[in-house]
Amino acid sequence: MCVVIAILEVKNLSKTFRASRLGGKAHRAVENVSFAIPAGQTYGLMGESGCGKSTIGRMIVRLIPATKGQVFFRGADLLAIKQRAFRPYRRRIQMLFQHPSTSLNPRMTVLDSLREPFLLHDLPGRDCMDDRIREHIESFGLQSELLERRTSQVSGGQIQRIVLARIMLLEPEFIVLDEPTSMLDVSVQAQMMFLLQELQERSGVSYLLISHDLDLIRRCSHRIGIMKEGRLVEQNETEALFGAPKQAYTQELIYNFECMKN
Amino acid sequence: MDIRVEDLYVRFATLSGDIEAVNHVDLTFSQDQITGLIGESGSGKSVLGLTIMGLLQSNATVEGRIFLGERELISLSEKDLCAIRGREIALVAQNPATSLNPSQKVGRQIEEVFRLAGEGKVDSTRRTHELLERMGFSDSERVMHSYPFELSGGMCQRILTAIAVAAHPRWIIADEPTKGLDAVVRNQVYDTFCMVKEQYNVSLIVITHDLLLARKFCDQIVVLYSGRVLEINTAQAIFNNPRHPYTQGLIASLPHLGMRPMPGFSAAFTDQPSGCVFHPRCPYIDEDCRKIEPKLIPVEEGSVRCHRYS
Repeated sequence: MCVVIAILEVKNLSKTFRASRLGGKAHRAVENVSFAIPAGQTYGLMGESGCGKSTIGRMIVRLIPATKGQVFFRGADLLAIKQRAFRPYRRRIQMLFQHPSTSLNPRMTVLDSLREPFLLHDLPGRDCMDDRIREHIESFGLQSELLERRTSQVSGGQIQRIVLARIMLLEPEFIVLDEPTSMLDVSVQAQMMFLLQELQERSGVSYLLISHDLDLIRRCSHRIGIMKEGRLVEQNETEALFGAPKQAYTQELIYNFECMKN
Repeated sequence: MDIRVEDLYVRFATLSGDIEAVNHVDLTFSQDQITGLIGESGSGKSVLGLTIMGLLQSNATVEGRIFLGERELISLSEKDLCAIRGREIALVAQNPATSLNPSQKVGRQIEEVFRLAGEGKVDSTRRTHELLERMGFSDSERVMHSYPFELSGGMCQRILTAIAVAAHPRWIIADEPTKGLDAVVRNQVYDTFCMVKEQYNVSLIVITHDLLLARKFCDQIVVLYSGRVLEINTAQAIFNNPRHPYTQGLIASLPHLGMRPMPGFSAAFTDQPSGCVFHPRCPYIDEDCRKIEPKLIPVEEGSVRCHRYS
């Protein structure tokens, strides 16, 4: 049996949002979720809106603190690392957000946005960064005229490419894709997912793909986890999961998708 | 009563020059059919819907005619349009999160429709209750006293639909009713529209880029690209035998049908290609395509704007 090395392993991850001072109840958004993602693969996390899948993505990149549990990245427990020591990991672990309109600073030009990784992470080649950016964005299907525009003057599909180009400047090993195409048209979605798969083949980057679109997840993931109300109810290799879904909830989700197609 | 769009052009004056968001559209939305307007962002589908409603912003100029039965809508005064909006043609606006008033309870927002129609307070409240129950809310009392942020996206979508049907219009234009919703909620929205169609005997125009919804729900489909109609046909023909290369590309982009991307992007409105507007992305490009803009050519039950069929 060959041993698959996980690049990222999530163990018993939980998140409880405390009750506000004005009242209300504490909300357990994520409860005891565990999964592992082998290097160079895509793990699809699927569930209805509000099931906690985005919360998991945010905890992995430490945008919000976890209540309990561990996240191992190449063996190091990310959640136990001090803020300052986490900085090098920020470069290696990136996140692509759902809403193109809020992903980039609207007052900056595209070029300024793409310069940020050089300045923040002190990438090599800072003195010729504009040339590198021009060369780099071509492989993302972006033309250099775009660079002078403000990010508010660029379409949603192009913004997602710009953000992805910016992420790839950092040569990350792992990217959380949080509903990367749910605000895009099907034709633009296909272009985007094709590009992501191409990048994976070329650079061996691993993805956590968060989505509520079962067809998309099935098409793009090696392994899938199904979430319901904060818990991971079932996980398996993609075709095994679709071929023989064990949980009633998974069957119900698949049924809901087939409904639309018939 | 059909809606007939004749020779319609919509232009917007912008800082980077005039742009033509709707370009020479001739269409009939027939009363007994559900029509789906599909196309990617910027294809002009929402602008077409808003033009029918007379709700365009002030930098727009409209040329052409839109008939509701015998009445021409573009030349109507704002006052006459107000009598048509909501009562004869209602809009289910895009994005429930921003279309409902966040500082008013939803009950009051629905009641407003009845109050505007001249009903008293008690009657309006009673009818709002009835309407919510018909819309599938089992706890209408609680929903009436909720603010939009206290309800889920799917529930807000149903509230918007309730507001649209409240005055019993003949037509409803639904703008992207399933955008960003998950499969379960999307099925609920579909069920709501089916119920509305049956119980209220209303005709529908559905503006969407959700191809699966369009196929399941619509009788006729209009494919728009860069403000032009590229193909019109029955939903069945569009999906089983798409004729225009753009329609073929859209369908091949669906994840369960291969997810094969089309090359390139739709052209910017300020920089439209010569000849056929789709030619820079078309796999079947010919010399004519670069020079001559194709006309809509009749094919079986529909029509297609492509030189390959002339």
